[in-house]
Amino acid sequence: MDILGAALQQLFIPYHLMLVLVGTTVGLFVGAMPGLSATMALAVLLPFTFTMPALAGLIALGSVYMGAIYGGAFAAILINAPGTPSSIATTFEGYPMAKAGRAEEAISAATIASVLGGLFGVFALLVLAPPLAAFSLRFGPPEYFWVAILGLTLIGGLSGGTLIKGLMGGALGVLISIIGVSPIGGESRFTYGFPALQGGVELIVALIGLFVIPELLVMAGTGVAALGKTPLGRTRGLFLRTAKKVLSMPGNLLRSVVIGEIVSVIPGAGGNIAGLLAYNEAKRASKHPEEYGKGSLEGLVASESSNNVTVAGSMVPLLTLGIPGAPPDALILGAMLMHGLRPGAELFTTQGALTYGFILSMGLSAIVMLPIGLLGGRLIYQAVIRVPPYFLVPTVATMAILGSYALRNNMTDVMIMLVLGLLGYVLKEIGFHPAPIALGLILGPIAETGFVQSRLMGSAYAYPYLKLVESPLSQILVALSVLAIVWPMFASWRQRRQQAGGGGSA
Amino acid sequence: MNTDAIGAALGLALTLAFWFGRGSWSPLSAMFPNAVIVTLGLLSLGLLLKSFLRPTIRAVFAEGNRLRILLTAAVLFMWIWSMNYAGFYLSSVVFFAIMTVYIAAASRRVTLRNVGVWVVIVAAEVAVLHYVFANLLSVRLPMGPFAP
Repeated sequence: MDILGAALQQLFIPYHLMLVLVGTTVGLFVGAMPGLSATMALAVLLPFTFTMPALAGLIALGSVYMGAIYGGAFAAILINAPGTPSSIATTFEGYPMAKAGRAEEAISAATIASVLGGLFGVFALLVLAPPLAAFSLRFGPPEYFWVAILGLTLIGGLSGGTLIKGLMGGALGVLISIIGVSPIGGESRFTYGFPALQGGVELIVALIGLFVIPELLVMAGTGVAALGKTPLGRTRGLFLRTAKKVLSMPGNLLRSVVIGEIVSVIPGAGGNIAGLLAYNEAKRASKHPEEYGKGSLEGLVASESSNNVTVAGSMVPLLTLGIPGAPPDALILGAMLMHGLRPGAELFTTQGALTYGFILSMGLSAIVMLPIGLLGGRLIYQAVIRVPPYFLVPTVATMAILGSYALRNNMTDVMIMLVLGLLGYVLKEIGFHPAPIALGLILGPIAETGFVQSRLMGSAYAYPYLKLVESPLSQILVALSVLAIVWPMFASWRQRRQQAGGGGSA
Repeated sequence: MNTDAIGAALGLALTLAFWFGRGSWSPLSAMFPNAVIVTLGLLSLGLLLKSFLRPTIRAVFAEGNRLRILLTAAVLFMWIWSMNYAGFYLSSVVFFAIMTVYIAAASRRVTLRNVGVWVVIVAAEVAVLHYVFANLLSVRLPMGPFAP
């Protein structure tokens, strides 16, 4: 308690409070721009933190990180572009809500869900860090493979109607993720003689192409902006009404933040997987699954609450074991090492005031998101709806080009973005939803690395592939994967039977 | 149109493209992609079967003017291609302005004065974006003829 008191004392000085405010605001606007990721924001900020005191530097980085993950929701809601990969699932409900004139409601809900998710992540980090760190160490290659397979079972819920098309999209996403240098053998795969393809397809480049370009083409073709305007009179008291709605779904919130926490402590699995998993589970548990894809508040809340848990959640393996779970965490680790802070148990004792000060600053950043997010969100929304389509389309195109280019300063990425965008447009027209392709892109590398490394680990066995199901954790994950596939089929069969029974008795 | 049949044909084409795109890889590098290609092929055949048994019939490319969508895609392609030679600023101003005028002309009368004002706005907007990315975020944007 003494340490927490000292941490609070250190945190609540004007300089640190200003850093939280500015960091969260900067992160929010960076995250709102498609292609500008939290990693990029932190990378730009990192050199400045070297000259700051350790706590101030970490507060700045943590606040930008928190703000950027939340800011991704704005682009997802307003232009169907996941501002960061963590907000992929936010596009599924946020954009349809915006098209129906419910953008402000979507932004308010995303803000409240993000704040709650962020606070839960900080609480879990404060209370559960040691046991969660021990849990994360139990994940080896076979477990990672099964995590990816469990993730791929989400395709059923993300297919948008036709399961077989969803599965094909998932397979296509996995194949696209394979393009480039093999992680095991080091050979170039599917480069078709283009050396520029050796670097592979960046996830955010593919996401911009698949999600933004099709919408942009439709906007150009129809000549009208996609967003509907919130009718006057509906905006008064909207925030309170939305807050009431969000808080009236405690089950959904709790399930989503727990999923976010579990996923985030597994190094390598990030906010994107957490968001998709939470979204899918929310849909499965919903009393109104038919509303999903048409602007369901439940789905939006699930995605946003879970992805913001991962910011503090990914600090569990980072602060306790020194394992950065995601690229932004690696940058925070770099800043810590530059200031002579070594992750581990000592960090929580000898440097306790500093460490807890950093953790609490993320909680403060989550709270600060509420006023900043609502104000910033309203500003961005007002700007987007006031811009006529003939300016909006090329502006979004410029942002898509810049976002794709800025990741690696590479024009090939921009061309890949366009090609995938055109392919995504054609596929969408013939009934392929882009979400399974994105899921395949995210989980493909995790599945392949886990699969091949497990195969190598099992080389000494008579049946090498048995390594995949050797550990109890693997077996649990296999059982969950099977359950995830079989349960919807069983539920659908039971529903059909009930309907048939009801029809017969009527 | 039978979108299942189109999807199956596209799936099979992609299967073949990936199958023939394989090289002489080590077994460890080949096993995963091979499995996924076969899966995609089987799923495509499954969709082909479905297209005969229970086809999904729906209108495709029905939303928006098809010619305008095609030309917008072409402008986007030229925009990106020209950036290698003209640099980010020049090509963005030119193609941003072309796209603005083209899309605006579909819904309203465009005068020469409109075009002049829009070009100024576009030049300013692209300059701001260029400044933010090149100077604040240290992104080395293509310079084209302005390269030092």
